[in-house]
Amino acid sequence: MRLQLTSEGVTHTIEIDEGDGKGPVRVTIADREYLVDVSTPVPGLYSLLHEGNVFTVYVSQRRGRYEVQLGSWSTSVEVALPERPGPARKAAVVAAGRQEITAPMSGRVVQVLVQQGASVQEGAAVLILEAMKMETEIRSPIVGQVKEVRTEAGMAVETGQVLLVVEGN
Amino acid sequence: MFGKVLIANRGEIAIRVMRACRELGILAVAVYSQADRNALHVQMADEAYLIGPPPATESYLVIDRIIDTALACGADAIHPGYGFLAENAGFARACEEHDITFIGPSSRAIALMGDKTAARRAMQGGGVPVVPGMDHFLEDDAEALRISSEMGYPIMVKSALGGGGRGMRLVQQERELSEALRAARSEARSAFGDPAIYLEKFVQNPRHVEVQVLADAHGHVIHLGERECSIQRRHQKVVEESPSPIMTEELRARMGDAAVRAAQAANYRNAGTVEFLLDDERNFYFLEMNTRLQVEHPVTEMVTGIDLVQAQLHVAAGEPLRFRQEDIVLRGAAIECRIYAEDPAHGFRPSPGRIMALQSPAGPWVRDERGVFAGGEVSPYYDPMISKLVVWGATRPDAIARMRRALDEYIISGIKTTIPFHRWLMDDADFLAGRLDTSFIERRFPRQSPPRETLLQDLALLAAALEHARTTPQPSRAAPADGDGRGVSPWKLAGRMDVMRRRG
Repeated sequence: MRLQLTSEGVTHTIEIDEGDGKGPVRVTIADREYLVDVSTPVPGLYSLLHEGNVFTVYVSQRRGRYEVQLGSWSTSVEVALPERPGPARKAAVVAAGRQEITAPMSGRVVQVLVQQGASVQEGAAVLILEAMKMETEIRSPIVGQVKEVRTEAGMAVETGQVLLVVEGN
Repeated sequence: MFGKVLIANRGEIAIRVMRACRELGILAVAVYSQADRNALHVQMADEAYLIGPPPATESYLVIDRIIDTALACGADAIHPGYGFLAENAGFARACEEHDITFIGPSSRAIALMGDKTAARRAMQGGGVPVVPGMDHFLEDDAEALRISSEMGYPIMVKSALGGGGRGMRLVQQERELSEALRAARSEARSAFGDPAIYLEKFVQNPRHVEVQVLADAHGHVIHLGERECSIQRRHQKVVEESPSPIMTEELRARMGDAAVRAAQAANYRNAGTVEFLLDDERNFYFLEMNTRLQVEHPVTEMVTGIDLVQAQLHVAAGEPLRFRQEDIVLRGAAIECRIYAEDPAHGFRPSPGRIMALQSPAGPWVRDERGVFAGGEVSPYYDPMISKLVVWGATRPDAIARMRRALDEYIISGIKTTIPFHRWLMDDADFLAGRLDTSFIERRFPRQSPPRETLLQDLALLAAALEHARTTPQPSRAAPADGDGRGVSPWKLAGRMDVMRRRG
């Protein structure tokens, strides 16, 4: 199996050769090669043995990404089949000057601080979001004009939901 | 003793109180909002009643609905937990009026200590030193501007009803003032139902050390030593320990004495906490008294062997205290790590969502008090604390080593938690040396996490690839393998992994 994976902004090609299916799998990532014994006690839980060292890895799927938990460390991995261009690559090409401001977490909109057509500075607060009793200011990443306001005070929003669209000058 | 107690709270603290009730043979009644039908505290209760829609202001903070529920189900007493209505004098009064025992102090004592400015006046009268600040609530922004420039920045904006860092804002310069006042009022309104705020001079880099007291209805007041709570983010505690690493017997006696006097001044009954700021020269200043159980109560339980929730129940039922001051001995060291659904790598921002996998630490002297379960949802409506992890050791270094071990065992996936922060902390040189102050996190915690070992990163990629192969639907299991020269297909590998699993 050969896959392209993106994690923390870097894309890797991983090759997994399970050999005759009886022994450890051979894993190749760039110039690194590992022999890893893989067992799955329950779905989503991977017990990996590498050179006698034990690694217990939990993997769950969320919004098309794999959330990988290895001890207290976690990371997010996106997969693309080699035949198709990966969503990671597509996401990297941001329409120049047009920026969607999304909710960094699910919560409730307390106040929208700007109106459609308003000019905003980079770093200016545009919206206040409340989650878990804490208020967070959402800021504009660019200088520009507010093109769209897609939310209003009191609205419950989900992580990743587009709140505002700002177009750069 | 009571026959049935209603717990006017949710999450891990509701469960903590239920456990004490069970051990005393008392039936435990849960209340829940529409968002909490599946919550763990409902699953663990003997009885459970719906009290309203998800926002706390329409459910957990609605006094009438909780009183009506208690009357309807025949509860003799209400335990408020912490947060929500725990320090609401109106709620305690409503209980008194309906002949339901409020497991806490009298409404008068709550009102005195709850009005932070009145409490400051009372303490000054009793000769306990206080932090400079206002002795009344703020009228408007103009008054704030005037008082702040008189006192000099930095100043602290605080909620009148206070507690848990809610409605608190540090203001370094005048231009930050109006936004801080707005945010503090707004948070205070949603957390306590009252937007009143006041101002205090900000003491630079103090330690936050508090004393646990226990008082019965017969005039006995004792203290159970101190807790060091200096490690905070957003003025809310993250890690607590007992004893404080800098405590001496002499200082403990003086602070304990001041705490007991504070409780006596309020004619206090119940478990309570007197909070102090401690400066470099070990001068202490009264900060406030919390007229309720504290989140960090387990560290005191671990070093004293006293169950504080059971003690609350005994005292509320009118029994005299079972211990005298000379019976209280602090043994060993205990540490609590608050596990929040927050991302420490991104400024501790909230991370609500569904918990996918969960494995709780266990073993000797490890106590995990959790309000969530695998597959359960961490709601954006409520407090982000999902668990308190508490350990005990014969010495502070033993307790730290045990906490390190317990954190390594603790798995919560699907949401971000503060576990990686705690794991970092347990290796930090200043923490190990006990060099703590309330700016510790800002001062020490690196904003960038260190680069991961390549091996770990690669194994994470391997696990993600295997999970992808396992969960991606196969167009045809019977497709010929490798025959057309396309190489090994991921579908085929998934099939083989199934075989390996069955074999394993």
